Amino acid sequence: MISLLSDMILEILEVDDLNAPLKDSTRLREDLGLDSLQLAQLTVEVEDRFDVDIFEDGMVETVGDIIAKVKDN
Amino acid sequence: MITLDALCDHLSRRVKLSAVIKSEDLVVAASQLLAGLLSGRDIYFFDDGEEHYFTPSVCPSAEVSDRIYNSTSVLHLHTSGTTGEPKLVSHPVMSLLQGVRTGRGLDHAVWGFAYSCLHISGVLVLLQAWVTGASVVDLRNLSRKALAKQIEATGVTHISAPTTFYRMALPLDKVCRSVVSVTNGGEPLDLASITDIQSSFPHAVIKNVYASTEFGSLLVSDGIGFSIPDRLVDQVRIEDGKIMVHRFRLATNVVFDGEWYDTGDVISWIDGDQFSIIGRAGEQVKVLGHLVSLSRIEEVITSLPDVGLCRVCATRHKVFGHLLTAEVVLADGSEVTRQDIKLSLGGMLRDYEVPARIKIVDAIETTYSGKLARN
Repeated sequence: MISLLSDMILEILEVDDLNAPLKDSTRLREDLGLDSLQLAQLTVEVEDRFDVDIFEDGMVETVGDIIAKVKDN
Repeated sequence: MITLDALCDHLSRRVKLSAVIKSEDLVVAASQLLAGLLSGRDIYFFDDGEEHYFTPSVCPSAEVSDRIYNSTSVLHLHTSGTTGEPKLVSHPVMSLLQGVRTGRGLDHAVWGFAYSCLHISGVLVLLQAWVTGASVVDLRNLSRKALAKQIEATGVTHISAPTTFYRMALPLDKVCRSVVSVTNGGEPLDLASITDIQSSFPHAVIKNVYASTEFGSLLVSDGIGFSIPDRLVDQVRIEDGKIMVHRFRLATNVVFDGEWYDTGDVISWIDGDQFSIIGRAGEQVKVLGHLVSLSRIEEVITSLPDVGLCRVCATRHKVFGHLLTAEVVLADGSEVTRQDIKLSLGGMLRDYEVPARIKIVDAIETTYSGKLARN
């Protein structure tokens, strides 16, 4: 799951590597630098893959939040 | 080329004259339509959802012109619309004939047929050909190479087609000089399509037609801008930036309140009484607080050389306002990825206009009139 998310984020950020490996505590905005449009893109990528809208119940802040939403569904 | 005799032969071989037209086969649909017109029956056009094979051409004759003009038939068509459920609309054939053009040269015209047989635009092309004694050649479902060959072999002079036809079929791999008139219906032509038409048909005058199943062919433009001609000032007006059509002009069974029918088509004033049709109400949505036009984004994406056709849809989202999805049919031979397309759009669209989801698909559904289906 983490590695799938990592691939999605690399594609969205258009980079080859992240500064640090993704962890549950990695913050989407502050640590990864995702802006609103990139978060929208991440939303549809996750939705296409796992059929869940990660923002359905409000904002998600961290990688762990996304994983929890996917697992809940 | 199939003549009126062949059509009549086809009719005589049928056990009875069916007044229900289900076929997309041009000869079958045309002959049944003709039979209905000449017998004064009500004619129903339905799509039975099956695939049909097309014959190459139909050549009716001017002999039937007078009888068609006197026909008491009522034509019943399904309107697919760009949204919502299909509904039945009914037009007395007499009122449809108001849109038929006559004049020098039209009796020798060879019309390229590119609409569905079951749509009003297709019917209007057939009526136009029959009352002027012109020929009709089927141009649907042909490769670019076969299309150029068909136009050249049959000497097509007039093409009337939906916007998607020009987007998908052009540019041709050779110049066709026989074509003197190109008519576009459905959606406004983008600049790339206009350039493709000009390079493929250098002698053609380009016209845009504003038409719908509900009111037939209404406005014609030689350029991008439309205006309301004097003869229609009592029947067409602009209200709140949208085109309104008077009840008088509509099919008999279009149900709505009041005197004026809201087409939902949004205009933008160009100069004086000239306006362009920029899309349908509801095609503008907010993404992260920014108002975006789905048709403009489609136009930009379609202008990419690797893209044949594109449809952009918006889905509501609690956080982002709307999320945009672009479905893209690649141009022949192209192998670009969705990421390539996204990168190409970087300098052409604002960040918030770039669809979050880009899907490469084999085909995009269009309505009978060639408009992108948005339901």
